[in-house]
Amino acid sequence: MITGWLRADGRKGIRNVVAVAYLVECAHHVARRVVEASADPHVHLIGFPGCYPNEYAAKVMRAIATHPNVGGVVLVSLGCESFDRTALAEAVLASGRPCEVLVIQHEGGTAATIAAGRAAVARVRAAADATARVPMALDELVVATICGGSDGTSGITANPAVGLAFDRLVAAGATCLFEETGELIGCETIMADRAITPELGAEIEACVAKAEAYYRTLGLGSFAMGNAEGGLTTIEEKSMGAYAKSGASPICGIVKPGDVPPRGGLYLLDVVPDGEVRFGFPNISDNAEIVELIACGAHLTLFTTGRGSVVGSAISPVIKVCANPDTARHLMADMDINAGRILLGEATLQDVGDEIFDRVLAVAGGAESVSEALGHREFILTYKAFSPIGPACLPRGGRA
Amino acid sequence: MSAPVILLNPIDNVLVAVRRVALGEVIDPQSGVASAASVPLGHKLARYALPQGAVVIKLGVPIGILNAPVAAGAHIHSHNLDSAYTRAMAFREKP
Repeated sequence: MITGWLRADGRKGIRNVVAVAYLVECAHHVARRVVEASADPHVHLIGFPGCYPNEYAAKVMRAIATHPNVGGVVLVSLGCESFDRTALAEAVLASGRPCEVLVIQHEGGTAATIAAGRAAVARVRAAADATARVPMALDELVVATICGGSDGTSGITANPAVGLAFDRLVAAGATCLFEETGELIGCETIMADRAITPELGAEIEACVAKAEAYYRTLGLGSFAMGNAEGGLTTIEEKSMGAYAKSGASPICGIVKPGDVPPRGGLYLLDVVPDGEVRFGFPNISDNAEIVELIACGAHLTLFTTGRGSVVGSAISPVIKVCANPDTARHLMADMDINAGRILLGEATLQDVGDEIFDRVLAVAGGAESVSEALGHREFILTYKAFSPIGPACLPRGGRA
Repeated sequence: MSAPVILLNPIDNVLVAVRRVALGEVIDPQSGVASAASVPLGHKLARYALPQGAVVIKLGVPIGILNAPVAAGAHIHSHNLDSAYTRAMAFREKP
Protein backbone atom coordinates (compact mmCIF):
# COMPACT_ATOMS: atom_id res chain seq x y z
CA MET A 1 0.00 0.00 0.00
CA ILE A 2 1.30 3.43 -0.98
CA THR A 3 0.67 6.42 1.28
CA GLY A 4 0.79 9.66 -0.66
CA TRP A 5 0.78 13.37 0.17
CA LEU A 6 -2.54 14.83 -1.01
CA ARG A 7 -2.25 18.04 -3.07
CA ALA A 8 -5.02 20.57 -3.69
CA ASP A 9 -5.38 19.56 -7.36
CA GLY A 10 -6.21 16.00 -6.28
CA ARG A 11 -2.89 14.53 -7.33
CA LYS A 12 -0.80 12.71 -4.73
CA GLY A 13 2.94 12.73 -4.16
CA ILE A 14 5.24 9.84 -3.17
CA ARG A 15 7.72 12.34 -1.65
CA ASN A 16 7.25 15.66 0.15
CA VAL A 17 10.16 17.66 -1.23
CA VAL A 18 10.91 21.30 -0.45
CA ALA A 19 12.32 22.68 -3.71
CA VAL A 20 14.79 25.57 -3.58
CA ALA A 21 14.88 27.14 -7.03
CA TYR A 22 17.43 29.58 -8.41
CA LEU A 23 15.94 31.69 -11.20
CA VAL A 24 19.23 32.59 -12.90
CA GLU A 25 22.77 31.21 -12.63
CA CYS A 26 23.72 34.32 -10.59
CA ALA A 27 21.54 32.97 -7.76
CA HIS A 28 22.76 29.35 -8.03
CA HIS A 29 25.45 29.54 -5.35
CA VAL A 30 23.17 31.12 -2.76
CA ALA A 31 20.41 28.58 -3.47
CA ARG A 32 22.88 25.68 -3.21
CA ARG A 33 24.15 26.96 0.16
CA VAL A 34 20.57 27.20 1.42
CA VAL A 35 19.96 23.57 0.42
CA GLU A 36 23.24 22.39 1.98
CA ALA A 37 22.52 24.25 5.22
CA SER A 38 19.19 22.45 5.61
CA ALA A 39 20.95 19.04 5.87
CA ASP A 40 17.57 17.55 4.88
CA PRO A 41 17.69 14.91 2.10
CA HIS A 42 14.23 16.04 1.00
CA VAL A 43 15.24 19.66 0.33
CA HIS A 44 16.25 19.71 -3.35
CA LEU A 45 17.99 22.24 -5.57
CA ILE A 46 16.36 23.05 -8.93
CA GLY A 47 16.73 26.05 -11.21
CA PHE A 48 17.15 27.68 -14.58
CA PRO A 49 20.50 29.34 -15.40
CA GLY A 50 19.41 31.68 -18.21
CA CYS A 51 19.00 35.43 -17.83
CA TYR A 52 16.92 35.83 -21.02
CA PRO A 53 13.25 34.83 -20.98
CA ASN A 54 12.12 31.43 -22.30
CA GLU A 55 8.50 30.28 -22.31
CA TYR A 56 9.46 26.59 -22.21
CA ALA A 57 11.69 27.06 -19.13
CA ALA A 58 8.95 29.02 -17.36
CA LYS A 59 6.41 26.26 -18.11
CA VAL A 60 8.72 23.46 -16.93
CA MET A 61 9.64 25.36 -13.73
CA ARG A 62 5.94 25.94 -13.02
CA ALA A 63 5.12 22.27 -13.66
CA ILE A 64 7.92 21.10 -11.36
CA ALA A 65 7.20 23.64 -8.60
CA THR A 66 3.62 22.30 -8.55
CA HIS A 67 4.59 18.64 -9.02
CA PRO A 68 2.82 16.21 -6.65
CA ASN A 69 6.18 15.22 -5.08
CA VAL A 70 6.75 18.88 -4.08
CA GLY A 71 5.33 20.14 -0.78
CA GLY A 72 6.65 23.69 -0.87
CA VAL A 73 9.02 26.03 -2.70
CA VAL A 74 11.62 28.70 -1.93
CA LEU A 75 12.56 30.88 -4.91
CA VAL A 76 15.99 32.54 -5.02
CA SER A 77 16.24 35.46 -7.44
CA LEU A 78 19.17 37.79 -8.05
CA GLY A 79 16.70 40.56 -8.79
CA CYS A 80 17.39 41.74 -12.33
CA GLU A 81 16.98 38.50 -14.33
CA SER A 82 14.02 38.23 -16.68
CA PHE A 83 12.46 35.13 -15.08
CA ASP A 84 9.01 36.15 -13.81
CA ARG A 85 9.38 35.22 -10.12
CA THR A 86 6.06 36.79 -9.15
CA ALA A 87 4.10 34.67 -11.66
CA LEU A 88 5.90 31.51 -10.50
CA ALA A 89 5.30 32.30 -6.81
CA GLU A 90 1.61 33.01 -7.52
CA ALA A 91 1.26 29.68 -9.35
CA VAL A 92 2.81 27.82 -6.42
CA LEU A 93 0.60 29.60 -3.85
CA ALA A 94 -2.48 29.02 -6.03
CA SER A 95 -1.65 25.29 -5.98
CA GLY A 96 -2.07 25.32 -2.19
CA ARG A 97 1.65 25.07 -1.44
CA PRO A 98 3.75 27.35 0.76
CA CYS A 99 6.14 29.55 -1.22
CA GLU A 100 8.69 32.17 -0.21
CA VAL A 101 10.68 34.48 -2.47
CA LEU A 102 14.18 35.76 -1.72
CA VAL A 103 15.76 38.50 -3.82
CA ILE A 104 19.51 38.69 -3.28
CA GLN A 105 19.72 42.37 -4.28
CA HIS A 106 17.03 43.22 -1.69
CA GLU A 107 18.17 40.89 1.10
CA GLY A 108 21.65 42.42 1.25
CA GLY A 109 23.83 39.97 -0.62
CA THR A 110 25.13 36.41 -0.35
CA ALA A 111 25.44 35.82 3.41
CA ALA A 112 22.22 37.64 4.28
CA THR A 113 20.24 35.73 1.65
CA ILE A 114 21.66 32.36 2.76
CA ALA A 115 20.60 33.15 6.34
CA ALA A 116 17.15 34.30 5.20
CA GLY A 117 16.89 31.22 2.97
CA ARG A 118 17.59 28.84 5.88
CA ALA A 119 14.75 30.39 7.85
CA ALA A 120 12.46 30.32 4.79
CA VAL A 121 13.19 26.62 4.18
CA ALA A 122 12.41 25.83 7.82
CA ARG A 123 9.03 27.63 7.58
CA VAL A 124 8.15 26.03 4.24
CA ARG A 125 9.21 22.60 5.55
CA ALA A 126 6.98 22.98 8.61
CA ALA A 127 4.01 23.96 6.43
CA ALA A 128 4.69 21.13 3.95
CA ASP A 129 4.86 18.62 6.82
CA ALA A 130 1.27 19.50 7.70
CA THR A 131 0.10 18.08 4.34
CA ALA A 132 -2.43 15.28 4.73
CA ARG A 133 -1.20 11.73 4.04
CA VAL A 134 -3.72 9.49 2.34
CA PRO A 135 -3.81 6.07 0.68
CA MET A 136 -2.66 6.22 -2.93
CA ALA A 137 -3.77 3.72 -5.56
CA LEU A 138 -1.65 2.43 -8.41
CA ASP A 139 -3.88 4.28 -10.90
CA GLU A 140 -2.70 7.57 -9.34
CA LEU A 141 0.95 6.80 -10.06
CA VAL A 142 2.91 8.22 -13.03
CA VAL A 143 6.00 6.25 -14.06
CA ALA A 144 8.49 7.33 -16.75
CA THR A 145 11.28 5.53 -18.56
CA ILE A 146 14.48 6.64 -20.26
CA CYS A 147 17.65 4.93 -21.49
CA GLY A 148 21.19 6.28 -21.26
CA GLY A 149 24.64 4.86 -21.83
CA SER A 150 23.06 2.18 -24.03
CA ASP A 151 24.97 -0.74 -25.52
CA GLY A 152 24.16 -3.96 -27.37
CA THR A 153 22.56 -5.46 -24.27
CA SER A 154 20.11 -2.60 -23.54
CA GLY A 155 17.63 -3.63 -26.22
CA ILE A 156 17.59 -7.31 -25.28
CA THR A 157 17.46 -7.24 -21.46
CA ALA A 158 16.69 -4.02 -19.56
CA ASN A 159 14.51 -2.32 -22.18
CA PRO A 160 12.10 -5.21 -22.88
CA ALA A 161 12.01 -5.96 -19.13
CA VAL A 162 10.91 -2.35 -18.48
CA GLY A 163 8.36 -2.86 -21.29
CA LEU A 164 6.89 -5.83 -19.38
CA ALA A 165 6.78 -3.79 -16.17
CA PHE A 166 5.07 -0.96 -18.10
CA ASP A 167 2.45 -3.41 -19.40
CA ARG A 168 1.66 -4.51 -15.82
CA LEU A 169 1.56 -0.90 -14.61
CA VAL A 170 -0.75 0.22 -17.43
CA ALA A 171 -2.98 -2.83 -16.84
CA ALA A 172 -3.21 -1.76 -13.17
CA GLY A 173 -4.35 1.72 -14.26
CA ALA A 174 -1.06 3.61 -13.84
CA THR A 175 0.10 6.34 -16.23
CA CYS A 176 3.33 5.55 -18.08
CA LEU A 177 5.55 7.87 -20.13
CA PHE A 178 8.26 7.04 -22.67
CA GLU A 179 10.28 9.42 -24.82
CA GLU A 180 13.07 10.39 -27.20
CA THR A 181 11.49 10.38 -30.62
CA GLY A 182 14.98 10.78 -32.12
CA GLU A 183 15.73 7.23 -30.96
CA LEU A 184 12.44 5.92 -32.34
CA ILE A 185 13.20 6.57 -36.02
CA GLY A 186 11.98 3.54 -37.97
CA CYS A 187 9.38 2.59 -35.34
CA GLU A 188 6.84 5.27 -36.25
CA THR A 189 4.45 3.13 -38.28
CA ILE A 190 4.43 0.37 -35.64
CA MET A 191 3.89 3.00 -32.95
CA ALA A 192 1.15 4.65 -35.00
CA ASP A 193 -0.67 1.29 -35.22
CA ARG A 194 -0.78 1.23 -31.40
CA ALA A 195 -2.42 4.67 -31.18
CA ILE A 196 -5.99 4.71 -29.80
CA THR A 197 -7.18 6.88 -32.73
CA PRO A 198 -5.97 7.15 -36.36
CA GLU A 199 -5.51 10.91 -35.88
CA LEU A 200 -3.17 10.27 -32.95
CA GLY A 201 -1.31 7.74 -35.12
CA ALA A 202 -0.73 10.45 -37.74
CA GLU A 203 0.56 12.79 -35.00
CA ILE A 204 3.01 10.09 -33.83
CA GLU A 205 4.38 9.68 -37.37
CA ALA A 206 4.70 13.46 -37.74
CA CYS A 207 6.46 13.67 -34.40
CA VAL A 208 9.15 11.14 -35.44
CA ALA A 209 9.53 12.82 -38.86
CA LYS A 210 10.17 16.11 -37.00
CA ALA A 211 12.84 14.41 -34.88
CA GLU A 212 14.50 12.88 -37.96
CA ALA A 213 14.65 16.29 -39.68
CA TYR A 214 15.92 18.02 -36.53
CA TYR A 215 18.77 15.56 -36.01
CA ARG A 216 19.61 15.68 -39.74
CA THR A 217 19.93 19.48 -39.52
CA LEU A 218 22.28 19.06 -36.56
CA GLY A 219 24.33 16.64 -38.69
CA LEU A 220 23.84 13.77 -36.26
CA GLY A 221 23.18 10.28 -37.57
CA SER A 222 21.48 7.92 -35.18
CA PHE A 223 23.45 4.84 -36.25
CA ALA A 224 27.12 4.43 -35.31
CA MET A 225 29.86 1.86 -36.01
CA GLY A 226 29.68 0.71 -32.39
CA ASN A 227 26.04 -0.24 -32.92
CA ALA A 228 27.00 -2.58 -35.79
CA GLU A 229 29.81 -4.12 -33.76
CA GLY A 230 27.24 -4.81 -31.07
CA GLY A 231 25.22 -6.83 -33.59
CA LEU A 232 22.69 -4.19 -34.65
CA THR A 233 22.17 -4.11 -38.44
CA THR A 234 19.47 -1.57 -39.31
CA ILE A 235 18.22 1.76 -37.96
CA GLU A 236 14.83 0.23 -37.21
CA GLU A 237 16.49 -2.61 -35.27
CA LYS A 238 18.40 -0.11 -33.11
CA SER A 239 15.28 1.95 -32.54
CA MET A 240 13.26 -1.15 -31.64
CA GLY A 241 15.67 -1.77 -28.77
CA ALA A 242 14.87 1.65 -27.31
CA TYR A 243 11.19 1.31 -28.27
CA ALA A 244 10.95 -1.99 -26.32
CA LYS A 245 10.79 0.09 -23.12
CA SER A 246 7.27 1.15 -24.07
CA GLY A 247 5.86 -2.38 -23.79
CA ALA A 248 2.80 -3.43 -25.78
CA SER A 249 -0.05 -1.29 -24.38
CA PRO A 250 -2.08 1.02 -26.63
CA ILE A 251 -0.60 4.54 -26.96
CA CYS A 252 -3.12 7.00 -25.51
CA GLY A 253 -1.48 10.29 -26.45
CA ILE A 254 1.47 12.58 -27.06
CA VAL A 255 2.57 15.20 -24.53
CA LYS A 256 5.24 17.89 -24.61
CA PRO A 257 7.34 18.95 -21.59
CA GLY A 258 5.10 20.38 -18.86
CA ASP A 259 1.87 18.86 -20.21
CA VAL A 260 0.10 16.57 -17.73
CA PRO A 261 -1.59 13.54 -19.34
CA PRO A 262 -4.95 12.29 -18.05
CA ARG A 263 -4.95 9.45 -15.50
CA GLY A 264 -4.06 5.98 -16.81
CA GLY A 265 -2.48 4.67 -20.00
CA LEU A 266 0.73 4.96 -21.99
CA TYR A 267 1.92 8.32 -23.39
CA LEU A 268 4.78 9.42 -25.65
CA LEU A 269 6.73 12.53 -24.59
CA ASP A 270 7.84 14.58 -27.60
CA VAL A 271 11.16 16.11 -26.51
CA VAL A 272 12.27 17.54 -29.88
CA PRO A 273 11.69 21.32 -30.19
CA ASP A 274 9.33 22.76 -32.80
CA GLY A 275 10.31 25.14 -35.55
CA GLU A 276 13.80 25.77 -36.85
CA VAL A 277 16.85 24.53 -34.91
CA ARG A 278 17.54 27.34 -32.43
CA PHE A 279 19.18 26.27 -29.19
CA GLY A 280 21.23 23.26 -30.30
CA PHE A 281 20.77 19.69 -29.09
CA PRO A 282 17.21 18.80 -28.10
CA ASN A 283 18.52 17.55 -24.74
CA ILE A 284 22.16 17.99 -23.80
CA SER A 285 22.24 15.07 -21.34
CA ASP A 286 20.03 12.36 -19.83
CA ASN A 287 18.98 14.51 -16.86
CA ALA A 288 17.52 17.16 -19.19
CA GLU A 289 15.08 14.47 -20.38
CA ILE A 290 14.40 13.24 -16.86
CA VAL A 291 13.45 16.81 -15.87
CA GLU A 292 10.99 16.94 -18.79
CA LEU A 293 9.43 13.61 -17.76
CA ILE A 294 9.05 14.95 -14.20
CA ALA A 295 7.48 18.12 -15.62
CA CYS A 296 4.78 15.84 -17.09
CA GLY A 297 4.05 14.52 -13.61
CA ALA A 298 6.34 11.48 -13.34
CA HIS A 299 6.59 10.32 -9.71
CA LEU A 300 9.61 8.16 -10.54
CA THR A 301 11.74 7.24 -13.54
CA LEU A 302 13.02 3.84 -14.70
CA PHE A 303 16.49 4.41 -16.20
CA THR A 304 17.98 1.58 -18.27
CA THR A 305 21.72 1.57 -18.90
CA GLY A 306 24.22 -0.77 -20.53
CA ARG A 307 27.50 1.11 -20.13
CA GLY A 308 26.53 2.21 -16.62
CA SER A 309 25.07 5.62 -15.76
CA VAL A 310 25.08 6.58 -12.07
CA VAL A 311 22.68 9.55 -12.07
CA GLY A 312 19.53 10.14 -10.07
CA SER A 313 17.34 13.24 -10.01
CA ALA A 314 15.89 15.99 -7.89
CA ILE A 315 12.14 15.80 -7.14
CA SER A 316 11.41 12.25 -8.39
CA PRO A 317 13.47 9.13 -7.58
CA VAL A 318 15.31 7.30 -10.37
CA ILE A 319 15.39 3.48 -10.40
CA LYS A 320 18.33 2.16 -12.43
CA VAL A 321 18.09 -1.05 -14.42
CA CYS A 322 21.46 -2.39 -15.57
CA ALA A 323 21.32 -4.24 -18.90
CA ASN A 324 24.86 -5.58 -19.12
CA PRO A 325 26.15 -8.30 -16.73
CA ASP A 326 29.76 -7.08 -17.01
CA THR A 327 28.71 -3.50 -16.10
CA ALA A 328 26.64 -4.88 -13.23
CA ARG A 329 29.74 -6.54 -11.79
CA HIS A 330 31.60 -3.20 -11.71
CA LEU A 331 28.77 -0.82 -10.85
CA MET A 332 26.14 -2.84 -8.97
CA ALA A 333 26.47 -0.43 -6.01
CA ASP A 334 24.80 2.15 -8.29
CA MET A 335 22.09 -0.13 -9.69
CA ASP A 336 18.67 -1.11 -8.37
CA ILE A 337 18.02 -4.00 -10.75
CA ASN A 338 20.44 -6.31 -12.57
CA ALA A 339 18.76 -7.24 -15.87
CA GLY A 340 22.12 -8.64 -17.07
CA ARG A 341 21.17 -11.84 -15.23
CA ILE A 342 18.95 -12.60 -18.23
CA LEU A 343 22.08 -13.09 -20.35
CA LEU A 344 23.60 -15.42 -17.74
CA GLY A 345 20.50 -17.62 -17.72
CA GLU A 346 19.82 -16.68 -14.08
CA ALA A 347 16.52 -14.91 -14.75
CA THR A 348 13.95 -14.53 -17.52
CA LEU A 349 12.70 -11.27 -19.00
CA GLN A 350 9.45 -11.86 -17.12
CA ASP A 351 11.31 -12.36 -13.81
CA VAL A 352 13.13 -9.04 -14.24
CA GLY A 353 9.95 -7.29 -15.45
CA ASP A 354 8.21 -8.46 -12.26
CA GLU A 355 11.19 -7.36 -10.16
CA ILE A 356 11.03 -3.87 -11.73
CA PHE A 357 7.28 -3.70 -11.06
CA ASP A 358 7.82 -4.66 -7.39
CA ARG A 359 10.64 -2.11 -7.06
CA VAL A 360 8.38 0.64 -8.46
CA LEU A 361 5.80 -0.16 -5.76
CA ALA A 362 8.49 -0.23 -3.04
CA VAL A 363 10.02 3.12 -4.03
CA ALA A 364 6.55 4.65 -4.44
CA GLY A 365 5.87 3.36 -0.93
CA GLY A 366 8.82 5.28 0.48
CA ALA A 367 11.84 2.97 0.06
CA GLU A 368 14.86 4.89 -1.25
CA SER A 369 16.13 4.03 -4.72
CA VAL A 370 19.89 3.42 -4.89
CA SER A 371 20.69 6.78 -6.52
CA GLU A 372 18.41 8.52 -4.02
CA ALA A 373 20.21 6.90 -1.07
CA LEU A 374 23.57 7.90 -2.61
CA GLY A 375 22.42 11.53 -2.62
CA HIS A 376 22.04 12.01 -6.39
CA ARG A 377 19.82 15.06 -6.99
CA GLU A 378 20.74 16.10 -10.55
CA PHE A 379 18.69 18.79 -12.27
CA ILE A 380 19.28 20.58 -15.57
CA LEU A 381 17.01 22.87 -17.54
CA THR A 382 18.06 24.75 -20.68
CA TYR A 383 16.54 26.82 -23.49
CA LYS A 384 14.04 25.19 -25.88
CA ALA A 385 11.02 26.20 -27.95
CA PHE A 386 7.77 24.28 -28.40
CA SER A 387 4.41 24.88 -30.02
CA PRO A 388 1.39 23.52 -28.09
CA ILE A 389 0.35 19.93 -28.88
CA GLY A 390 -2.25 19.45 -31.62
CA PRO A 391 -5.92 18.67 -30.87
CA ALA A 392 -5.49 14.98 -31.83
CA CYS A 393 -2.64 14.42 -29.34
CA LEU A 394 -4.71 13.78 -26.22
CA PRO A 395 -7.97 12.07 -27.30
CA ARG A 396 -8.89 11.46 -23.65
CA GLY A 397 -8.18 14.95 -22.30
CA GLY A 398 -5.33 16.20 -20.11
CA ARG A 399 -3.69 19.54 -19.38
CA ALA A 400 -1.50 21.11 -22.07
CA MET B 1 27.76 -23.29 -19.87
CA SER B 2 24.65 -21.08 -19.96
CA ALA B 3 22.29 -21.05 -22.97
CA PRO B 4 24.12 -19.32 -25.88
CA VAL B 5 21.12 -17.45 -27.29
CA ILE B 6 17.84 -15.85 -26.27
CA LEU B 7 14.47 -15.81 -28.05
CA LEU B 8 13.28 -12.27 -27.34
CA ASN B 9 9.71 -12.77 -28.59
CA PRO B 10 7.91 -16.02 -29.49
CA ILE B 11 7.22 -14.76 -33.05
CA ASP B 12 10.87 -13.83 -33.74
CA ASN B 13 12.67 -15.69 -36.54
CA VAL B 14 16.09 -14.85 -35.11
CA LEU B 15 17.86 -15.80 -31.90
CA VAL B 16 20.25 -13.31 -30.24
CA ALA B 17 23.63 -14.37 -28.84
CA VAL B 18 23.92 -13.73 -25.10
CA ARG B 19 27.67 -14.51 -25.14
CA ARG B 20 30.22 -15.51 -27.79
CA VAL B 21 28.65 -18.41 -29.74
CA ALA B 22 31.05 -20.89 -31.34
CA LEU B 23 30.75 -22.21 -34.92
CA GLY B 24 28.77 -25.44 -34.78
CA GLU B 25 27.36 -24.82 -31.29
CA VAL B 26 23.76 -26.03 -30.93
CA ILE B 27 21.52 -22.98 -30.47
CA ASP B 28 18.13 -24.72 -30.39
CA PRO B 29 18.16 -28.02 -28.50
CA GLN B 30 14.64 -28.88 -29.75
CA SER B 31 15.40 -28.65 -33.48
CA GLY B 32 19.13 -29.30 -33.18
CA VAL B 33 19.93 -26.15 -35.20
CA ALA B 34 23.60 -25.18 -34.82
CA SER B 35 25.30 -21.84 -35.35
CA ALA B 36 26.81 -21.45 -38.82
CA ALA B 37 29.25 -18.79 -37.57
CA SER B 38 31.23 -17.68 -34.55
CA VAL B 39 29.49 -14.51 -33.33
CA PRO B 40 29.85 -12.19 -30.31
CA LEU B 41 27.16 -11.11 -27.82
CA GLY B 42 24.27 -9.21 -29.38
CA HIS B 43 24.47 -10.74 -32.88
CA LYS B 44 21.57 -12.51 -34.61
CA LEU B 45 21.30 -16.11 -35.85
CA ALA B 46 18.48 -17.50 -38.04
CA ARG B 47 16.11 -19.67 -36.03
CA TYR B 48 15.24 -21.64 -39.18
CA ALA B 49 15.86 -21.37 -42.94
CA LEU B 50 14.49 -18.16 -44.48
CA PRO B 51 14.04 -17.19 -48.15
CA GLN B 52 15.35 -14.04 -49.85
CA GLY B 53 12.85 -11.23 -49.25
CA ALA B 54 11.80 -12.59 -45.85
CA VAL B 55 11.04 -9.99 -43.19
CA VAL B 56 13.31 -10.52 -40.19
CA ILE B 57 11.40 -10.29 -36.90
CA LYS B 58 13.19 -9.41 -33.64
CA LEU B 59 11.49 -8.28 -30.40
CA GLY B 60 8.25 -9.16 -32.20
CA VAL B 61 8.67 -6.45 -34.83
CA PRO B 62 10.18 -6.24 -38.36
CA ILE B 63 13.78 -5.02 -38.43
CA GLY B 64 14.62 -5.44 -42.13
CA ILE B 65 14.44 -7.62 -45.27
CA LEU B 66 16.82 -10.44 -46.27
CA ASN B 67 18.65 -9.78 -49.54
CA ALA B 68 19.65 -13.47 -49.82
CA PRO B 69 18.26 -16.81 -48.62
CA VAL B 70 19.76 -18.04 -45.34
CA ALA B 71 20.08 -21.48 -43.75
CA ALA B 72 19.03 -22.28 -40.19
CA GLY B 73 21.71 -21.02 -37.80
CA ALA B 74 23.11 -18.44 -40.27
CA HIS B 75 24.55 -15.17 -39.01
CA ILE B 76 22.17 -12.34 -39.97
CA HIS B 77 23.84 -8.96 -40.27
CA SER B 78 24.71 -6.21 -42.77
CA HIS B 79 25.88 -8.76 -45.41
CA ASN B 80 22.39 -10.24 -45.84
CA LEU B 81 19.91 -7.85 -44.14
CA ASP B 82 18.69 -4.52 -45.58
CA SER B 83 16.79 -1.81 -43.76
CA ALA B 84 13.20 -1.44 -44.90
CA TYR B 85 13.27 2.14 -43.65
CA THR B 86 15.70 4.23 -45.67
CA ARG B 87 18.53 2.32 -47.29
CA ALA B 88 20.88 5.27 -46.95
CA MET B 89 20.36 5.34 -43.19
CA ALA B 90 21.15 1.69 -42.57
CA PHE B 91 24.71 0.78 -41.77
CA ARG B 92 26.56 -0.55 -44.84
CA GLU B 93 30.08 -1.99 -44.99
CA LYS B 94 32.36 0.11 -47.19
CA PRO B 95 32.68 -1.61 -50.62
